[in-house]
Formats: sequence, structure tokens, C-alpha cells
Amino acid sequence: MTPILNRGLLTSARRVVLSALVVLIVAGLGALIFIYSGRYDIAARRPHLMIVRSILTMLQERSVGFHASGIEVPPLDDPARVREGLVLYRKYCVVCHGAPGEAQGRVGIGLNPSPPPLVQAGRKWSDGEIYWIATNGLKMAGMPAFGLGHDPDQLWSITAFVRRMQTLSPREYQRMVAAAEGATDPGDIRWVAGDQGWARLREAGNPEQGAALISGFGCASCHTIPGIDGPRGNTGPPLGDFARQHYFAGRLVNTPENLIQWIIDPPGVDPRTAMPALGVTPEQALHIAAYLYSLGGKQ
Amino acid sequence: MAGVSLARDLVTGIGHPLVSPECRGGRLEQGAWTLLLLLAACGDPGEGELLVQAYGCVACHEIQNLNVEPATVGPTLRGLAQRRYIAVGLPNTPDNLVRWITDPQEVLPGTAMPDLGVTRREARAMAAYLLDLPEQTLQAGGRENAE
Repeated sequence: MTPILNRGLLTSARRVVLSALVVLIVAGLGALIFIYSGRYDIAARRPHLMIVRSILTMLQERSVGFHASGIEVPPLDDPARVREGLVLYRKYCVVCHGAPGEAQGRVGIGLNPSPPPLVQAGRKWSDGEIYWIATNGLKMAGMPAFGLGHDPDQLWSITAFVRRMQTLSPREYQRMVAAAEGATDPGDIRWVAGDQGWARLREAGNPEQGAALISGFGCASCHTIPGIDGPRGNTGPPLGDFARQHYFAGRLVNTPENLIQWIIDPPGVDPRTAMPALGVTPEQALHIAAYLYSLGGKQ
Repeated sequence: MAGVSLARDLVTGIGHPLVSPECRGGRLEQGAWTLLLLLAACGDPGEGELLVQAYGCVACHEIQNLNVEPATVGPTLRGLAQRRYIAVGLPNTPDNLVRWITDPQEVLPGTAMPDLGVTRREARAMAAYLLDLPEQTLQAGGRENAE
């Protein structure tokens, strides 16, 4: 009895493995035939199939993460470095990646994958990773390896500038360009950014209090804000994803400092706005900011 | 009555909330508004969809399902037609939207949105497409916190 049973089990297990192998081989052959047929649309102007795109993106992100993990980052908060980085960035990088208030050139627009706006690169990549990408380039992405023609020092300067760009307004950027490339240097340019208010927000900002204040001041009558009852107004933009947005109010970088200043006195910041000053105190604005940054995932 | 005043405002370019909350009546009224928008924008939404990709708008803005990567440099353009203002304090009318697309630095100096060299004709098509995007739903893309 037992030997027969054993034989039966083995055979069916073997059958399963064999079937799986056959399926894999057939699928592989099918894929090869498809690739060879040339039917896959390789044109850059049209997007990849979602599955191909997902695989390629994961491949790229994981590879950079792995290969850039050991890099030691030198101090980047140095005005001279940032300034040199700006000059290099404008020479080599703007054409594909743009800059605050500056569009990418035709070359950048025509590429697939699309060169991302580097004003937000810090959300996705660490300084070491940005340095690695600039130095080594990326296969099949149109991103050149600038390490071939530049020394590490210059590439760290570019990295330092990209880092500074994360909190750079278009106005400040234009002033920097004028100072670095032109004759004018007003001397009050912030080559190195401060903390922008994040430390204080994390220490002292209370999102629950912020929510209560938002209800109290009636913000929801103009803005659609998750977690706050209101008529879902459309006078102002929806704030559900506010934390992820890079700019707000057209020309301000989304930092606690700027947001608090805005909440306290919007017309003072920009006379064109329809948003009124409601008599919010700085401390109240801090809590309101804390609530808004708690939505949609904080930086 | 609301339709007549909208038509007048669109013609004179004064500005008017495109989808006034008070006017949100039946589906038919919504349809009439949309048609009016498309006519006012005088552009082909199909062409607009292609142009919006050609000019790289999706690099910074979330636009319907065109984005491959999350785009959060600028605000989302979902339900753009519902917004009362665009840029800062600019009434959301087709004409203003066209102006904004063709010449953002002139409309709002120092804005993060760059001049892309869009022609007026192209901007009309893009405006027609953008203004036709579906409404912002209550669960905006599933990212809103539960109420």
C-alpha cells in the first residue's frame, strides 16, 4: 500500500514542477518572439507599457540605492561651492532638468524617461545618490556620465547646488544667476539655505490644535481640507496634498517659514491674492501649518 | 439666468466662477457649462492632450492619468474647471487660462511656472483639454484622510 501511495505523490509533484517549467519556457519563448518581432513601441514620444515602466523604474532606483550607498558626502553648505555648482548646473543641467522658474529645453522635453525637475530631487534621492547619478549617468535614460569630463570636486559642487535648489524660489534663483554670471552681486544672496522652519515646526507645532484653528477661522469655506468639515469650497486650491507640493501661492517654496508668513498675512506677501488676512497669530499659524503638513505625507 | 451671465462674462473677459457652487444643479446644466467652456476656449481638447505632454506639463503637474511619475512641483490640475482662481488671484476663465499658459512670467512675475513658448492657438487647445478634466472627487485620488 505505502510504496504505491508514495509513487503516486511523487508523480503528481513531478507533474506540477514539469508543468511550471513548461509554462515558463513557453512564456520566455513568447517574450523573445515578441521582442524579435519588433512590435514593441520603442518611440520616446509614446509611453512604455506600465509593467515595463515599473520594472525599469524599480531597476534604476534599486541600483542607484545599492551602488551609491557607501558614498561619503563632504560638507555641502558652502557658499563658494553652491555658487560654482550654479554655474556648472546652468551650463550642463538646465537644458534637461530646468530650474526654478526656468523651463527645460527642447532636448529635455523630448526624452523618455522624462528628466525630472531637480527642484524636488531631494525628496527622492540623497546627496550621495545625486552625486552618483551625476558622475555615472544612467543607462538607457539619456542621463550622461558627467564624471567622464569633470572631477569629483566639480560634481560635488553641482550636488551642493541641486541641494540648495530644493528651497530656492524663482526670484532668488534669478538673483543668484545675475550674481554668479553677471556683474551685479548685491551681497545678500543666501547661497546656503537655513532650516526653513522645520525644526521649530516639529518641536512646537501641534496638528490637533491646528485642525481646531482651521475650523475656527473658517478656512474650509474656501479650501477643501481633509478632516475639516466644510462646504468643500473651490475659491482656493484643495489642500489635501499640500505637504507634497513644492511651490504654493505661485512663487513661494513650500516651507514652514513661508507658509506661516503666508497664513498670517496673505495680501502682505502677495497683494493679488484673494485670500484675506484673518488675524492669525504666528503661534496659531504654526499649528495650522503643522496640521497641513500632516496631510498627504510629510517631507 | 446663470448661463446668460456666464456667457456675457466670458465674452467680456471679466471673470466668473466657472462652476459656481450655487449653480451646481443637474447633470444637464453641468454639461452645458462644459460645452460653453470648450466653445469659449476655442480649442480641440484632443490636440490639447497631446500638447500638454509635448510641452512637458506633466513633469510638474498632476494631470488626469497622464503622469508616469508623481508630479508635485506645481498644483494638481484635477478638476481645474472647478477652481475659482488660478495663479494667484486670477479669475479662472478660459481667456485667463490661455494668457497664463502662454505668458506666465508676465501674468505673475517670479512664478515657478516657466515660459515655454506656447503659442496662443496651442494654449487654446490645452485650455480646452484642461478645463474638461473631471471634477475633483470627494476622495481625491484616495489620498485624502477619512472624514
